[in-house]
Amino acid sequence: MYFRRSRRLLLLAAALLACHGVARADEMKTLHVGMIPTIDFAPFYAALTNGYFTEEGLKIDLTPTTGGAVGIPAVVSGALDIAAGNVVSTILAASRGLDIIAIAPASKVRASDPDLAAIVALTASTLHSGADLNGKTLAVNTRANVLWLYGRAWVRKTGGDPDKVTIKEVPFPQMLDALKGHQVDAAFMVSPFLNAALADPAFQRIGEPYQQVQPDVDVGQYEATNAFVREHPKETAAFLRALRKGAVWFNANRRTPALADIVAGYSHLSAGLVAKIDLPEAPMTIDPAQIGKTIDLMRQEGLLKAPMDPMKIVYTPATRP
Amino acid sequence: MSRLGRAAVSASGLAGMLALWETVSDTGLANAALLPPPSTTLRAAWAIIASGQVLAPLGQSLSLLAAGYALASVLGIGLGLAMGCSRSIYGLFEPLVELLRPIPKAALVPPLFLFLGIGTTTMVTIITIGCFFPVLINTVQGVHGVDPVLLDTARTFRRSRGLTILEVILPAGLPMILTGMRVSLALGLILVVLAEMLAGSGGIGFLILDMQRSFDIVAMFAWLLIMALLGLILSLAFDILETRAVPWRAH
Repeated sequence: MYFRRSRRLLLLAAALLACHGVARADEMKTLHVGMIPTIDFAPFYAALTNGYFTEEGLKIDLTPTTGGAVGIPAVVSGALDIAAGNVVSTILAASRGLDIIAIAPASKVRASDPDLAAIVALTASTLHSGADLNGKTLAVNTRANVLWLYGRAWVRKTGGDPDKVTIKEVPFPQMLDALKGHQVDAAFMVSPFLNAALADPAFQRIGEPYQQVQPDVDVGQYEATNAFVREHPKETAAFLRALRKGAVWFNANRRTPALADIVAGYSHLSAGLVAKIDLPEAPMTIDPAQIGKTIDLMRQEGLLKAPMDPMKIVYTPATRP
Repeated sequence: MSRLGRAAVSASGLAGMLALWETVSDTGLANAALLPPPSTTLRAAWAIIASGQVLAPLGQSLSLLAAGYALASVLGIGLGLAMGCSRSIYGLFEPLVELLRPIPKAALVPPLFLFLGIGTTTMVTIITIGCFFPVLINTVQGVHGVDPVLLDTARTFRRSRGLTILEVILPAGLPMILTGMRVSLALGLILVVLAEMLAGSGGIGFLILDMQRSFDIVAMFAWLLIMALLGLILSLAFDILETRAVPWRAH
C-alpha cells in the first residue's frame, strides 16, 4: 500500500517535470544564466531587478560562476544557456572548435576609466611595477582569460618577465582577503571590489593593465552557443532586448542610490562604497576592431597559434539562419 | 579459469570500454570537442610522454607525494603502534583521532592554504594529514588483531617490550598496516592533484586545470590519462612491494 502510493507520487512528479520542458506560448521560458558579481554585469542585474526580463516573458535561473573560463564550458555542455564571460575566453574556446559566440557586450575599459580594473598590492610592500613582480604571486579570477592575458602583457610592458610570475586563481570577492593574508603579492582586481580595496589605505594601486596595454579594450561579454541562438531565436532576442533596456537604465542611473543598492546587493559590499564609484557608460555594441587587437595580443603571448576573424565570435542578426 | 584466461577477460573488458568511448565520440553522441575519442587522447598522451614534457610535472607531483606519504607512514605507524600497545596512550588520543578522521581532507585544503600560506610546506602538510589517518587506524587495528598466542610466546621467551613490538607485533600487523598504506597512496595522489590545482605553481594537477582553462580539452584528457597511468603504476609497484614484505599472506 505504502509503495503503491509513493510510486504514484513518483510518476506524478516525473510527469510534471516532463511538462516543465514543453514550451507553451503563454508561459515564461526559463533561461539558465551564469553570472559573475562584478560591475561589468551591473546592467544585467539592473534588468533583473527592474523586471525587464519578466516583461519579455523570461524567467532567469541564476548560477554564480568565477569567470568566463568556467561559464563557457557550462554553456557548451548545455548546463547553462547564457554565461557571463570575457573576450579572451571566448576567442580561446572558439579557436579550439567549441561552439561559442558573444551575443552582447558587457564592458569595455577606456583610457579615461581609472577605477574599473587595476593591479593592487599592499601599501607596505615594495611592489611598483611588473619587474618587481618577478618571482612573486599575482591573483586573477581564472587562468587563460582577459585578466590573465592583460596582466601578463602589463608585466612584460613594465619590465618584468611574465613567466617568472606565479599566477594564482582567486575569485574576485576573495582577492582582498588573499592580499591581506599574504596568500598573493598582487591582485588584478575589478570594480566594485577594486574600489573597496582602494578605499582602504592598506592597499595601493600599482598598475592599470587595460589602460596601459590596450585602451578601449572590450572586456566583458555575454556568451551563448550558436546552436542555442539558432534553436531559440525568440528567447535570445527577448534576452537581448531586456539586457539593452537594463544597459540604458544603468547608463542613465549611474549616480543614483537605486543602482548603488543593486550593485551592493549582488556584490555584498556596502551601498555607500558603491555610490562613490565613478561608473563609466556600459557599451551598446561589441567592437570587432578591439577584438582584433586582443587576438593579436593573444598570438604574441602564445595563447593563440593561428589568426582568427573577430566576427567569428560576434553575434549579429545575420548569423541567425 | 587460468591466469591467461583471466587476463584475456580483463583485456576484453577494457577494449570494449575503449571501443564504446571511441564510437560515442566519433558518431557525435557526445560532443567530440568536449569528449575527444581515445585515439586522439592516447596519441596526445604518448606525444607528451615521448617528448619528455611529462618529466618535470611528474617529478614535481611525485616528490610532493613521496614526502607527504613517507612522513605520514612514519608518523602513522609510530603513533599506531603506541596506541595499539598502550591502553593509556590509546585513551589519550582516541577522541582526537575520531574527531579529525571523518573530516574529508580535501575540504581542509583551502583553509590550510589560508593559514599556512601557499607553498611546498603547506602542500606536504596537507598530504601528510590526509595520508596519516588510514595508516594510523589500520596500524592500531593490526596491533589489536595480533594473535594473543604470539604475544604469550614472546613473553615466555622473556623478550622485552621493545623487541616484542619489533619481532612479533610489527610483522604480525604488517598486512593490515600495508592495507592502510595502500588506501593512503590513493588518497595522497588525489590530495596532490587538488593542492596543485589551487596553488598554481606546476605539477600535474596544475596542468590539468590550466588545460581546462585554455579549453585545450585534448591536452587535458591526455594529462588525466597520464595521471591515471601514474596511479596504476604506483598501485602495481605497491603490490610487488607488498608481496615481498608479507610473503606469508595468501592471495
